[in-house]
Amino acid sequence: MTRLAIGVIAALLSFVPSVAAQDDSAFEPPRLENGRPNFRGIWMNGSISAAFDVETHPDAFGTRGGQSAIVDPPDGTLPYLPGAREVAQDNNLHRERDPVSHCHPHGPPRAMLPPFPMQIVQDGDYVVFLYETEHAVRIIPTDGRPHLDGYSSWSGDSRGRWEGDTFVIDVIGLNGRQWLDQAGNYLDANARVTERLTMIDPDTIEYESTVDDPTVYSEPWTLRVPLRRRPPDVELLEYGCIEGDRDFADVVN
Amino acid sequence: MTLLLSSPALGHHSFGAEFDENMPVTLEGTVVRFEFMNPHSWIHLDVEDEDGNPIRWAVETGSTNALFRRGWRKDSLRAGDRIRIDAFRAKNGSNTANANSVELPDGRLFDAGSSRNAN
Repeated sequence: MTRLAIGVIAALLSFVPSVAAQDDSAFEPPRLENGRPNFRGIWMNGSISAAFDVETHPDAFGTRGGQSAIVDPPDGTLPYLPGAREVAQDNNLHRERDPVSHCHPHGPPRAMLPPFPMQIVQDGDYVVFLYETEHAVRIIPTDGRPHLDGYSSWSGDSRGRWEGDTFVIDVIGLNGRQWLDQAGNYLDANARVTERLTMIDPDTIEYESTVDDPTVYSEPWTLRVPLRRRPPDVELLEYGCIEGDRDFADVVN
Repeated sequence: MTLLLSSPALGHHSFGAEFDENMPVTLEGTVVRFEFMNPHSWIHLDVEDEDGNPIRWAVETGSTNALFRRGWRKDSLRAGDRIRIDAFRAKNGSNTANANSVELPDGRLFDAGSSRNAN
């Protein structure tokens, strides 16, 4: 047998298992009695740098650096309309404006980003997100009902549906005061947020969020972070945020 | 003593804007009060100046939740405890700081809950 033939056979042998592995890689999620994927559990963002800035940014004092969480556009840059990035940059210089620093709910998609756990509860037609920070709650019906009419809030109005094993949430009704991160990136009240949650292994839900906000961005863009399952001993704790929302002067005195 | 390295807080407020990385400070003093609360806990302590006069400091740590998950408990600090804190001073020049680590009277060294990874 020639060296070439051996090489070809070796290549074939190495190729066949990889194809088989690929076929096996379609993850079969655990399921509830109703057949839906079982997302129940406590989860937390596995890409914490996005909580500081969803775009690529360096490590700095008080800021964990990292690559952009924006997967579309492919360059990872938020497609701001002319003048809108200047607003974000001004926010960044005035972080005291950050709504979260005043204990307001993060709102989607930022709600998925902080280094604090969130719990997913599934019951019948509802999927419920319980966030530790700010005690935010999103009770998401999946029965096909229409959006609330004329509603507005920090977390907006969420309506869920299943596309195969992916849970898709359509969010409108945001009050337009949300920031996307600590760096002052933002959206406004015209935003429509489409979130997609897919379990990709027993301990990871891939979270994607597409923001279509034609008065801030030139095109829809998509953010992606992994939600990692927290260890069994982690439970949600109270986060009575207003207690500590005070100025330095008040603290010292 | 084991040195624990922790990263700056994911601020409820803006950590980088309020505290100065160029002004690290080590405070040794007596606990006056420990506020175990969210979104940040505060340690109030008296630090003696050169003349022996007590100077009151307020030192911020992570949230109750972050501290609890790192082993802190509500009574981890009691009034009268002598402690040592490695921290960064506030930019505004007040006697406030953000803690990196806290050494307890029994020598245990606690991460101040400022890690950016997990809470």
